[in-house]
Amino acid sequence: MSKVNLQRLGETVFQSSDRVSAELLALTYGSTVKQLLVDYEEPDEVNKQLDQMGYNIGIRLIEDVIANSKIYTISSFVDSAEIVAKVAFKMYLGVVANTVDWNSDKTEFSLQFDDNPLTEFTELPDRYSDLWYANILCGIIRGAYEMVQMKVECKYTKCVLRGDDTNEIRIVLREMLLERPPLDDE
Amino acid sequence: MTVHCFYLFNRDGVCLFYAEWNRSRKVKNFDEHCKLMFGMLFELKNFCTKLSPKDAANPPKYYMTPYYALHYFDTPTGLRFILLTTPDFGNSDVARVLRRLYGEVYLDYVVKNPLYEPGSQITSKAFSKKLDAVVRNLPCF
Repeated sequence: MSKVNLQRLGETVFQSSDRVSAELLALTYGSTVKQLLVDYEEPDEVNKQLDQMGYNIGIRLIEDVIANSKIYTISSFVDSAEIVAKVAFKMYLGVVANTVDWNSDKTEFSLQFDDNPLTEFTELPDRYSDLWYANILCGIIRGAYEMVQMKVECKYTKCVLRGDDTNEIRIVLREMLLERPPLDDE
Repeated sequence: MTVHCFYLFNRDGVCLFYAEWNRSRKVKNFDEHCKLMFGMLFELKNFCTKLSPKDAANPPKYYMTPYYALHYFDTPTGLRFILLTTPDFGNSDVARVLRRLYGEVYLDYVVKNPLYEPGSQITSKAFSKKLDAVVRNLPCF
């Protein structure tokens, strides 16, 4: 499917699904991060926890993406990137991301998005400057990819809360998992 | 036309759910049966892809014998939905039913159930009730 079609699809699915207010989402997410900071103290540890939480969400959320967008085949990593950017981001965050900086092998790209509803109302104090505030997104993407047989690494590289001009997540394809035949098959 | 039974496998070949309606012959060893079934489906898909004149993966939609038809739908996440019906399903789009079972029943009652452990067998009563209702309401049941 072409980019334009995917964008239209994302819009349609977004319009037809139930939504909650962006404030509710931002505040709920904010209090979760706040609590993690209280519990774990170290921003690095909090990044890890957010990633893990995201992973648990991602492995379920992917079914929702597929069922609602009715995209029943994902033919390549390049296609999948557009689906994440144009459909999935629109469905759950209401924003569309761009896929930029592809490497020559087409196994790495960056997701770029200017608005992040999760970071609304948030300012990062100096002592938490190592925190990737919306790191949950990395976990979600990683979990979702794993369910469609692609092992990826996902890292925040730019965040507006840190003074960057945009938000950017780097996604690196490590391995295409092949469908294995049943194990104990004699 | 009538519906015989329903299977749901995950990508590791675990039978997550099984239900039957009008099936006079009983399965003796269910585990063995599932293993056989999954192995066959796995190869069937492989086979279809290998024979295909195009590069795109193309899973089968159904196959038919004089006594029954097996309808197949799989998702990119490796879930396989299978419905066995009598062969006289004619032009009714059974694959669509399977997609509905995925989007309306599995998604709502399994994926969105926070207590469900991914990869484990589905024991939810709500799921089996809803599945039963959808299948019984089919015009072809």
